[in-house]
Amino acid sequence: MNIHILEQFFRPCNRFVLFISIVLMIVIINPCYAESKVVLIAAKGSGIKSISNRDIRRVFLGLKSSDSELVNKPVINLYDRELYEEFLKNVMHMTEGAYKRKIVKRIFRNGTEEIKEIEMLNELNSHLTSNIGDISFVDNDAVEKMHDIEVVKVLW
Amino acid sequence: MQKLLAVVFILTILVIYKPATAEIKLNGFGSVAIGTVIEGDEFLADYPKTGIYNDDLSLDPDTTLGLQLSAYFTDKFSLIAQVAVHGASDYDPEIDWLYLNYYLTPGLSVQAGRKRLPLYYYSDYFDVGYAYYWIRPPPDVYTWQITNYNGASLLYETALGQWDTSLNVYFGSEESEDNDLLNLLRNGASVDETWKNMIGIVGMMSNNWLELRLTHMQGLIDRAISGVSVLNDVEQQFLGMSLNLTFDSLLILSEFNNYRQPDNDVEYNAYLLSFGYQIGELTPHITQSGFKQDISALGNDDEQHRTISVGLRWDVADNIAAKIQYDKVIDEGMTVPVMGDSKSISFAVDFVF
Repeated sequence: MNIHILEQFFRPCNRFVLFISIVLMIVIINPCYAESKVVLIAAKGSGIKSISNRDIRRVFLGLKSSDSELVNKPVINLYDRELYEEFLKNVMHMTEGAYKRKIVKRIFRNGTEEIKEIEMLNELNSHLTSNIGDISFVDNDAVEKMHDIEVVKVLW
Repeated sequence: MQKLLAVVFILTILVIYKPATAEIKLNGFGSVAIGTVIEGDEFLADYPKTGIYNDDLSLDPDTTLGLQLSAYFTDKFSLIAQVAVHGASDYDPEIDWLYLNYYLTPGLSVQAGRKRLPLYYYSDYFDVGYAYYWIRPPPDVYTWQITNYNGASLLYETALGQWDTSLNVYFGSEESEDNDLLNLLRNGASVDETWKNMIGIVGMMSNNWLELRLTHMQGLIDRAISGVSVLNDVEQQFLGMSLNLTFDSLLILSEFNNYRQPDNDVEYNAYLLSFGYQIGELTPHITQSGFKQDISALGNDDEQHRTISVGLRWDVADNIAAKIQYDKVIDEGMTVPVMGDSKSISFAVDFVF
């Protein structure tokens, strides 16, 4: 009897139903992932309207923004180390070691200013609000814990 | 004299500008290296400063400590100064950078003062061991007797599609009395060298996995040996290309240079080809480099040497790297054997702060 039920379950028609169910589950679950977006932030009133991922990469390499003169300096958010590594992978397209060496080269080749690193969220908040135009990246959830901060762009 | 003029020029500008409100940043770098020759007599690890290992353990040839002061007066105007001490130069302080930088536009800046001569890919941060995986850039390629210049440069940096690009144009000169490298190659005779009217251009373009650098410099040389002029207004030309590739963990680095004194029938070629592979914090690497200058029709010296290097870089912490490296030099020069064949091993700890 049990074998018969199993045979029925795995008939092609049922396998299709199972596949559709899995796809639907993924679609339903997806919004949960969508909520944990990573965003580029700046102080409210910075005036930064748009910036390309390419330009974000330039700025975090110590170059001047070519998209907007309102973009000032980048700030590395080390509040969430995993997020930092994801940022390097998704936006900078390099490992932490490679990124560090690139920055060191620019400091000692061009006299470029060292990129500021901040480990506390409230300190990052305070820095951005007192340095209008500086940009950083945070998990979208973190924005709600900050004040006078606006999302410039969803990074991923 | 030119160094003094550069200092006076910078100080004058600073007095006029009154940098009381400058934002001052201090960065530093250092390498503590120890090594020895395990087969052969000597290994010339650092050509410009003549850092030489022999069969004793030595700290001096590659040990370096540098400080860089950056004063940002405004978002557009800054002063960069870098002083370094090197074991190979008896730890006497040397000014490598001392220049003013001004951004004319976000992408275009002008510099005036004393800078590193950007002939080679690693010229600008030759002494910053942390920035590369070797203990020192391959000596066969970095055989330059003049490493700095006093003058002016224009730097343009922009993004072109998926490419970051830069173009650097410079003009300047440098005098070196009792030049370390030339003294060594001339068996201790005192050699004064001047490179003047140097005009150079450096173009770079890079994306996520490829970096290309092309460079050209031309100028004039004056040289005197023991006070007797042997070269006067002799034209020199330098042409260089670097191609670096990054495929995930695999790094492929290369550099090819050609140097000529057309009127003297002097020409040499130098190259390096290196492979590195990043495994977490470790980067093993292997490099072949070489230098070849044939005996010319005018009877100039030949100089031929090549090196195979195998090493490992370990990123101990965010700003510290430990390295071990084995170098095998094959010196095939007939009239100018630089140091002869050798095998050596060296260890280093590089750091930045």
